[in-house]
Amino acid sequence: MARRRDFLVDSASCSGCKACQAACKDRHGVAVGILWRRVYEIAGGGWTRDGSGLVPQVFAYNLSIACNHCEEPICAEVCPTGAMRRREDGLVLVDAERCVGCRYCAWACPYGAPQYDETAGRMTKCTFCADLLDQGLPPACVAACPMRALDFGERGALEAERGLRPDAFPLPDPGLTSPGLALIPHRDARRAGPTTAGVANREEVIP
Amino acid sequence: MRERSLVAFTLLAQTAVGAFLTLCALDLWAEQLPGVPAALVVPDRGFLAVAGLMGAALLVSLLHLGTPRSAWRAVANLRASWLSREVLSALLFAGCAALVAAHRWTGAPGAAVLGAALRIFAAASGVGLLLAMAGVYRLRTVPAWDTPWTVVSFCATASLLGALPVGAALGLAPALPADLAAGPLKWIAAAGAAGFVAEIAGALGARRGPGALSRPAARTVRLVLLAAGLVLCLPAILGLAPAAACVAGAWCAALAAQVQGRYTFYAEGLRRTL
Repeated sequence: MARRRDFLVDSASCSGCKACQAACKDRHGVAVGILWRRVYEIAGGGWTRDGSGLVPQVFAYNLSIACNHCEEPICAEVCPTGAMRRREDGLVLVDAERCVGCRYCAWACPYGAPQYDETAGRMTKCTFCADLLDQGLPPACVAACPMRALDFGERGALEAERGLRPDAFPLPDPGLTSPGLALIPHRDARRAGPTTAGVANREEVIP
Repeated sequence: MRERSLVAFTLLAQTAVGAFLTLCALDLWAEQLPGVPAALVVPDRGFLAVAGLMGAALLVSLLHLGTPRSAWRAVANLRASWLSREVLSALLFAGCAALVAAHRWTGAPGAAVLGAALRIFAAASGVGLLLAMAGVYRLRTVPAWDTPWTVVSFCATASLLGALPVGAALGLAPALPADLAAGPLKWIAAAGAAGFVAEIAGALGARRGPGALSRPAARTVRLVLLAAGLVLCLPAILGLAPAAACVAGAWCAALAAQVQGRYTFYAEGLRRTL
């Protein structure tokens, strides 16, 4: 049976340099406006008054997210043409020839992974650098990370061994699609929620 | 907004289904009337208009695709994809509605059974289309859409935009005696009123879903339009004088409310956190 892989994101170590994002675009020649891997800058908190002074309680952390090649990929489930498919090795890939560019997969994916290429009129997405994996090399984003905050490993092993459930804000409930993602959350992620934090670089990362 | 063509597609298709079901009901009612030709109550051009609306809906839906020439592939995943099922049922409904229109237009003699069979098949595929359209948006990953209000709202749209104009045309038709039209007009107005009540309940009660608007001003405008439409249905339900004109007015209010509501539906559902 082919090996299945998860991404590991160490949000506590990520400095938000976006080398992973740039490496992905460079490796795949991804068009302007499309980001297969995106670094979300999450910011929140505020200040509280203490006597005559103000005490800062602001926080910020980064989250590098690409396609998680889910166990239950809703993009493949809803795709009307069967262009979006999950291979035996767990990689979820889009067949450009079959794609009609209806963007239904982009609506359905809670991670914003499938992205529409206006020029081609078709969807595009992270391939987990399948060609590099075949050569025994790591994906471009993992190789480019100077903080070693990105890694990849056997599916389920990272989560099982270390309890790294990917449910920090603003990630969706992992029960929806069983993402191939293990997350070491930033210490401030437990303070973040829909009413206390937000994506600070929304214009950059949300198409 | 990228989804403009889908606003048009969903509204046109739901209008076509609602109008078709209303015309079929009127046709059945007319057959019971002694001495009144069915074509006087439901003119052939009524079914022709439904087929035209559905054809226009299908054409408009192509504008949403990045590669429209490959649109035929969209029925390849019937096993799992509600979008495939929607496309198939839309094609079936369009085809059957066109056949019903052609059958009525040509007046094929001795083919009453065929006509009835076509109408039943078209009605079934129309109802299937409404359910498949709702299924497309009942995505477990999109909380704003994954609610029963999506189904209710799509059925209400079929009632408001499909039945009300048929009622107005029936009431305003010069060839049909006003007292004869009053009966079905009352039921059509009642169906419209039910649609307005459902949409108002959705807009007031649902925290999420197609009835919920995040912008208070837009929510107020929609509620005013829906309430105005509901009030305009009352004269026809009560059998008061300007019934047909009021039903026509209710349809105008419904059209404005549903166009605005559908834009909001997409805006709310596609607002992303990631």
